[in-house]
Amino acid sequence: MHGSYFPELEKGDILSSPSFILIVLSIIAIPAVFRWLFPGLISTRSLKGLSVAGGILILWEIISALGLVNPVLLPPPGRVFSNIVYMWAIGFLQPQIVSTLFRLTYAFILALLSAVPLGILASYSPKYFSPLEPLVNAARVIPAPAWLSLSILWFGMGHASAIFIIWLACFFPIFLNTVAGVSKVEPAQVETVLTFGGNKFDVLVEVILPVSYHHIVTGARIGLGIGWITLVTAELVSVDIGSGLGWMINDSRILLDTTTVLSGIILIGIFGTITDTVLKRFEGLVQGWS
Amino acid sequence: MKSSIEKDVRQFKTSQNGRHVIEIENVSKSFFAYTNHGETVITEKKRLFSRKKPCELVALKDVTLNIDHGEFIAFLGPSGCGKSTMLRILAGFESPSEGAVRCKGACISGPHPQRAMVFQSERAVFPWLTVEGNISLGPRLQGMDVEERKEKVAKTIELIQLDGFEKAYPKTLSGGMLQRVAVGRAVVSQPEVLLMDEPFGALDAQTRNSLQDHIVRIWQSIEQTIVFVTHDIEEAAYLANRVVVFTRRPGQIRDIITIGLPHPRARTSAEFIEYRNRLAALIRH
Repeated sequence: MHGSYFPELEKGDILSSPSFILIVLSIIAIPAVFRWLFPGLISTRSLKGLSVAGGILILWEIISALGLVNPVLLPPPGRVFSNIVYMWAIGFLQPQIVSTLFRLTYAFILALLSAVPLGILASYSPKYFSPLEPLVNAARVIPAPAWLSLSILWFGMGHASAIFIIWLACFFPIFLNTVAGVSKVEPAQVETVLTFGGNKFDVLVEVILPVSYHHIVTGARIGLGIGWITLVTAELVSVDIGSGLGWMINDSRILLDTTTVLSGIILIGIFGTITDTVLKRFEGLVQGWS
Repeated sequence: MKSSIEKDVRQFKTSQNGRHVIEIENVSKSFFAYTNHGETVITEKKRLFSRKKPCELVALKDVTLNIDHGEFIAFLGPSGCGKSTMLRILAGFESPSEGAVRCKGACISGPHPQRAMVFQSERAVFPWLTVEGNISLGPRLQGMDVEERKEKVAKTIELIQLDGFEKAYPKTLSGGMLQRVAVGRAVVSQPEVLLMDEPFGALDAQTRNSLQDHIVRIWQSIEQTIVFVTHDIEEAAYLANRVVVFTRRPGQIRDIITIGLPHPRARTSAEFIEYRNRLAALIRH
């Protein structure tokens, strides 16, 4: 742990391999017992997923414990786990998580609010959108981080810059999916609303939004996923401590603190899964599709 | 035949007033087809700044027709003869190039709940709403209050005989049931005229026959006018009071046949077959 950002870190206790394996085993065992006691509470699928993830962790710990790999190149999961607990205990981790989640949520909501109305407008009037299409396609393939230096010049170091990069990454999947969703609207559906006395706004609420809803949710899921992917680059522009998980990974990388790098990676994986699960919940909101 | 007597009385009344529900006066409709790099675009109006000479398609030519209250009119003709265009003009989705269309004396300028349309497309019954939700769509858009809406929706579901399917989503219903929902959705807010654009065109013969009986029953129990577009000769003869036969493009009225048979009609009776043959002869020319 040479050159760690926190010299005190080494004072933190590191879990021994057997106790780590025991913890992982119990994390798998407790839900399994729960399932046996109260059937139906936990699905087989999630239990299987948990077992596979736990199995890989145990395998990794054993490989490290046997000294098969250099611990700097691949720190044992027990150490990573202890590191996470330690960073939390000294109050270092919380501001990173809060700051990252704040930026992502901010940029994501901004992307939703801009991409969905623009997508609907674009498919409402293809006459005006089709000349813009090549430009949109060109803009779409540019990796969001490529804008980084310009973004710093425009928005300065800190939150705004990072939010801009993440927004850019989220925007296009949501926009293009909205366009695809609205194109599924049939003329007869629009005319149905009109023939029953609805106006253009009713068409939007009664037909266009329900038809494109699933596409928009899918776009949002892809967008947020890409948002997480660009996080590390986006947070390169962060300046102060407490500047996010992406910043934490970057900073530890410079100091060769691979344990903290892996901690950040695992935390991003966990939070990414949580946000995706939340978005997936929205899929079931509009019923009746086969 | 109590209902047919009532119908006669109704027709007598309206003809006394001298007012028709729908008046179609010398209506013509043309479209313009522009071909550009092998791609044909059909527009309603001539393009102002186009050097290309468009190919003019005359869909309807000089159609004049009056429809009385409570009538069941069928537009019959070969496909592409403009009968659907005529219906869309009545619905207000399209406007005639020449001539005038009036509903209860007022010019038709756009869609109105007074003239509800039943579409052929199964997707026109919204898959994200239940049967109940689909039927209450019209009343909801027209701002009917909740109590009245509930009552009317329940009555309509009874009328289309889909009791027990109130909470079902369209994907769980058969094609015939879907079309009944489409009809129910149109009749629920008691429009003056019901416009049906080949509503049973995509169904199998069995289902189609049973839906034809449904539609006759529904027509007899409500006091509404129905304009029904079809290319099926038997369907027109089975359903309508008057069958308006259209010619091939440009669509003109070839003849109007009054079917003087009371409902329910027997498809195998000699009179019915005679009417059918007459219509077939008109179409074939």
